[in-house]
Amino acid sequence: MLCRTAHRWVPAEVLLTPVGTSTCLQAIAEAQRRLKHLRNLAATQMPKQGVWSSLASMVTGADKMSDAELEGTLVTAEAGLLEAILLLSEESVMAFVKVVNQQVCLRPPSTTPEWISIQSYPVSVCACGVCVLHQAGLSIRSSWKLYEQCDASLNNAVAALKAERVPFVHQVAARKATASLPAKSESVRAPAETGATPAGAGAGAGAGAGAGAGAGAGAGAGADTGALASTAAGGYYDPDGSAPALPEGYSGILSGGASSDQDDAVVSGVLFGMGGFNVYLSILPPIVLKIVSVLGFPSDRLV
Amino acid sequence: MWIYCVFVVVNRDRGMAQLRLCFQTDSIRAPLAGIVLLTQHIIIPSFFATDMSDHLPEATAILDTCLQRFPDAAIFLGLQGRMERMRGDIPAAIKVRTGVQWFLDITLL
Repeated sequence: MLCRTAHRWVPAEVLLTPVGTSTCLQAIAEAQRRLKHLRNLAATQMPKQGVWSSLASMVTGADKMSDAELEGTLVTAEAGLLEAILLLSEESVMAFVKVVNQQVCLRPPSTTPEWISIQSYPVSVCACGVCVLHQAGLSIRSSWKLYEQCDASLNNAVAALKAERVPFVHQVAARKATASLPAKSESVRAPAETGATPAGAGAGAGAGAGAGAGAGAGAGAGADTGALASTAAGGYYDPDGSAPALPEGYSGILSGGASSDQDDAVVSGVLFGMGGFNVYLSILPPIVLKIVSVLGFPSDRLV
Repeated sequence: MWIYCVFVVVNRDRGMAQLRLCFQTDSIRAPLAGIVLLTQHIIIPSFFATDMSDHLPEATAILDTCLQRFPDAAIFLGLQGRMERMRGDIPAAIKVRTGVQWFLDITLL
């Protein structure tokens, strides 16, 4: 038997191959179940949304969230995003489309809509058997909105990030590699290094200046920022902490506003969510975007 | 390039910058951001582009960092094999990819 995964037909034995203690399909179903519970749990930490408060936030802009509310919102958004990604791993890109057309529904229009939910699957089927309600598009949209709320609580530091201020990864890596292991890095990345060495040196100097500015801002804003900055400097790129330079954009985010007292995990979560949205939505072809927008969302939402 | 999407104005360059920044933090999302960046630099160009010179440096740097931390990760090994194939190093690609064939069977990698 052949099963259709995201991109091709594979034998059912492959999907039923044990991975750990369960098969792939069981693992996906289990992950979806857990994500649903996680989302419900984290949603209880989100700020209360009443009619008046939402109206007020439309006029005056969203309030600052407390730390717990911020984390709850972030986790809710991430869970929704991961649910949608898991759905896509089973289905195809068209699962983004929320098909809930009452026009094509075969049931008489006077009857109330009746959605039959499939167990542990974010899809509901209409009783007419034709139209299908996919919830992936919905959860993606709400996730984006939640990420925007988190970002508003970070003074819009993430959305306003200038692309020029972030160095390319190979420039940072080249700088640190030449600092620690010059011979090996040259031999491994010879074609890349030849072109990138002057740029890497320039970025190194610039990032050094940025680190100085970030350290100054940290000293001004308090010890919290200093600790966070040192985390970033000795972070993922640099396990032994030998490189003192901070990526320029990160220090910009830290010194840019109220985000300096936020947790590193929150900032990186918003960065990852908004960055992933920006990248993945931008590679969809415009015709797909148009179809998605026509089918899935009210047209007055179009920008 | 600006693309007007559903209700969102998405900007690819800004998204890549955010992901790069996220990759340089010390959080749990750093490897995830690395995966997203690698799909942009390895998977998608292998369909369309003929000139890999502007994708390979960053992909190499990210893969080195990730494999240093997760030496046996199937995702990163599969991506590394694909990158070696793009570079033209077929024996290295075969050597890397046969080790994680079970994973490659069920994914796009």
